[in-house]
Amino acid sequence: MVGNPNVGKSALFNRLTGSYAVVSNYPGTTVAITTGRMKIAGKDYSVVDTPGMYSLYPITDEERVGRRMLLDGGYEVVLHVVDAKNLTRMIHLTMQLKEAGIPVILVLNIMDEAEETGLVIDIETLEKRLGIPVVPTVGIAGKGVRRLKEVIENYRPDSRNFHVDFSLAVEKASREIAPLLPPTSLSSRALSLLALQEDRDVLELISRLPRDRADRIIGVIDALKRELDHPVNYDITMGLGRRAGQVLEGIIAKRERKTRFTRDFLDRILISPWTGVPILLLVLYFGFYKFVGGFGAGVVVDFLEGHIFGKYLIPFINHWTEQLIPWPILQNLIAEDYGVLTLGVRYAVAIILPIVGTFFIVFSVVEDSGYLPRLSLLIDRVFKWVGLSGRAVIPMTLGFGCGTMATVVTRTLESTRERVIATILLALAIPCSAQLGVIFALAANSPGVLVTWIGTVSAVFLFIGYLTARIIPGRQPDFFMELPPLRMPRLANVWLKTSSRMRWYFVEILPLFLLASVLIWAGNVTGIFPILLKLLAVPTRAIGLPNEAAQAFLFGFFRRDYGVAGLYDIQQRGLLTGNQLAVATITLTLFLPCIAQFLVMMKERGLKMALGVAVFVFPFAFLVGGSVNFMLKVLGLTL
Amino acid sequence: MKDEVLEILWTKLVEGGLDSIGSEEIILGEQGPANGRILKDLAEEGMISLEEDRVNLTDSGFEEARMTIRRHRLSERLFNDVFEVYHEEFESPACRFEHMLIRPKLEKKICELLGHPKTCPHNRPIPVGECCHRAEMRTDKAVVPMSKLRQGESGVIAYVHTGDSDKLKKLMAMGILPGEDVSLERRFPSFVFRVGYSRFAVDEGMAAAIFVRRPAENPTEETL
Ligand SMILES: [Zn+2]
Ligand SMILES: [Zn+2]
Repeated sequence: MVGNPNVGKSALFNRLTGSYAVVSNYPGTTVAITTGRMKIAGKDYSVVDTPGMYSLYPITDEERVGRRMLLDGGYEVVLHVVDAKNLTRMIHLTMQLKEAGIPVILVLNIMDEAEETGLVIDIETLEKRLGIPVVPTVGIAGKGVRRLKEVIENYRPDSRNFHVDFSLAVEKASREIAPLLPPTSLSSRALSLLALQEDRDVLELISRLPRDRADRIIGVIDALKRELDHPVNYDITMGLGRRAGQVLEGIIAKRERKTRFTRDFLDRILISPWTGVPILLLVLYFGFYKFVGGFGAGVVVDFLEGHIFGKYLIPFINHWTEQLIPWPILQNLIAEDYGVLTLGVRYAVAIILPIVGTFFIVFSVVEDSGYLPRLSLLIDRVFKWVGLSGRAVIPMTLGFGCGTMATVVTRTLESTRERVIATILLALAIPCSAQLGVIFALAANSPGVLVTWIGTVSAVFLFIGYLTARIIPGRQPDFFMELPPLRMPRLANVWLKTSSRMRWYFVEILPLFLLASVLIWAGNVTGIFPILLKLLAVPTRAIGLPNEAAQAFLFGFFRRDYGVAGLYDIQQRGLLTGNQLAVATITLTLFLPCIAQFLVMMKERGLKMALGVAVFVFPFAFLVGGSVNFMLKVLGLTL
Repeated sequence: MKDEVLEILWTKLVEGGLDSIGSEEIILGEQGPANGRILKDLAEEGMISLEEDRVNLTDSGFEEARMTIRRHRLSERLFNDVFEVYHEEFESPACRFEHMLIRPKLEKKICELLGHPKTCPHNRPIPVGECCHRAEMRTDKAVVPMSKLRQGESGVIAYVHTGDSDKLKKLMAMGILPGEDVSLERRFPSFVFRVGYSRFAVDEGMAAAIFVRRPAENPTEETL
């Protein structure tokens, strides 16, 4: 399956395969390629969903992934999924696929919205003109899916070519190089057009050809560039536009559009800064502070952690471990203060899971409603200041859920520069939901702490972002984004997304919690930990915190949220004053990212960058914590 | 006739997407023997390649066939739109007319007169001429970058221009193309505009790359 972002590809995928994938209406969330199974008339099919693709000529890395899959071949038929009401625009890719000799079925999805808009599409004529099957569907409701399956089952490739006529200069150059190009699963015509646009992958194919052949091709490309006074891409797009006009001539009829007052009004107040910012604050307050902080980190955690684990499970586990295992060392591995079950599983299940779960519920609702693109445009100017574009709203917001997941999602950003800046900010100044939840719970009774914490961390975010944007070379990112219509989130979709994200979190994170508690156990047994704790206690005391906080920092090394949860324990024992709490939460928020995020950073950005961030963050966190402590003292404030 | 053979070759090879066709497909019917001779002539002129009775267009033949088709379909348009007679009814005068279009100046004038049509009356594509190209790129006084439009103003995208081709590619990939209707909804905090049934948000830099023709100030733009 290929197609633009926002065309309901993932929803259709779910309908076809019956299995789940994260359904999204935000550009670029389908980062990974999702594969599912489908059965039609007893025959098994494997369905592959590709990341969003606007044209055969890729711009972002995500599109490149999809295009590479098309180049590699190995598919029986390609479903090009489009948003029916934007057929005029999206048919370009259909024609490119057809011209490239790819077996393609055009799927007119979100047909209900097209009809609502008053569009009537003559499907039969469209099929005839394109020479491919065309199927209307409503993916989210499953309409047209059966028919689509029938069409896939009976699909016979049509060997006739589809010719798009470009300017004479391009036509001549294309014909000259087409026979020189290596065979791929794309037609040599399509490959030649990509070569003329200097597509990276195709140029690489060319560079592997014998020298004289490659030189001849490059010669033609250069000559064409000299001949035209505009990019080749322009001619190609214009040619496609003309051909689209011809194919669609008389096919789309339009009736009067129903104006929808409420939706338009809502849309307007979301993107106007005067109303948009207050709405953002409301969303943050109710969605995150009240629901994630209050309900998730408060009510649910209290129940699971205090009641289920504290009253029943922990005493039970401790009792039976003592009964069954005679050696204290092994007893400590499983139970007691730092055991795998009593610490690892307890933190993961009773503290972190409810918080992350409630965060993902809010995030899925926000994502499904189409609010995120609107937030992007609202915040673009601020983000430009820290070297990011409004597009970075998605990984940054996701970072409030899980920094590890967010670091992976920075792939959707366009330039390496943007990805680097986003990665640094995620590691440094964006607390994940587990941290946030516990911090909210910690600061629930002292608004002063909360305000100090928010103020300091935001200032660090802006300051470090501003600095990195000045230091890292490269130009400012462009901001461009399609605004999908506002949609009422569907319960089923929200549930699907939340559950698959939580499953991801559980599968990825629980083992790390277990590993972390084993490491803590090993550190205690071998005597490394007490030494490290002593060392950490020095800067900890220096910023005015009790020795016990060093332990939270050390645990935070293994999981950032582990650390905050440790802090929670300390505070419950009444060892922290308001000022100390503020300093501790700030230092811990800025402190090293967790192991998982560190590993992902290494994988995505390289070891050097990951280590560099770590080396910078360590003293920086204490420096900021110390400064806050100092400032509070000087100002004579007690929070 | 040579032109007819070239037209057949274009429709079968280029538009039909065949790699080559057998010469027997052309040497058929009444015209058969004559067409056979024309094929030989074309081969001698280097317009086509004839290998084991398989015919294919050479590069110069491709160009010639393309122009022949262009002239044919342009004249069809002319007869249909201006004289309001169907081409079929006047097959022979039209044929003669097509030959007049061999003069590039006349071809250009006719094309401009017809508003650089994209298709013939049978909805087949008319290969692009240089004039069509220039018309698409032309600028005039009523054209301003979108960043200069007032909130609520609308127009037609005249062209997309920017120093770096990266921006251009992004806009084109999103389908922000010349000829599309556009209306600007909002300038702050970002530029929000509607093209077709889609809405987009871009920053000021991108908005400055989209040039829009304001409708009111520009009643007649095509000059003959
Ligand atoms: Zn015709
Ligand atoms: Zn023209």
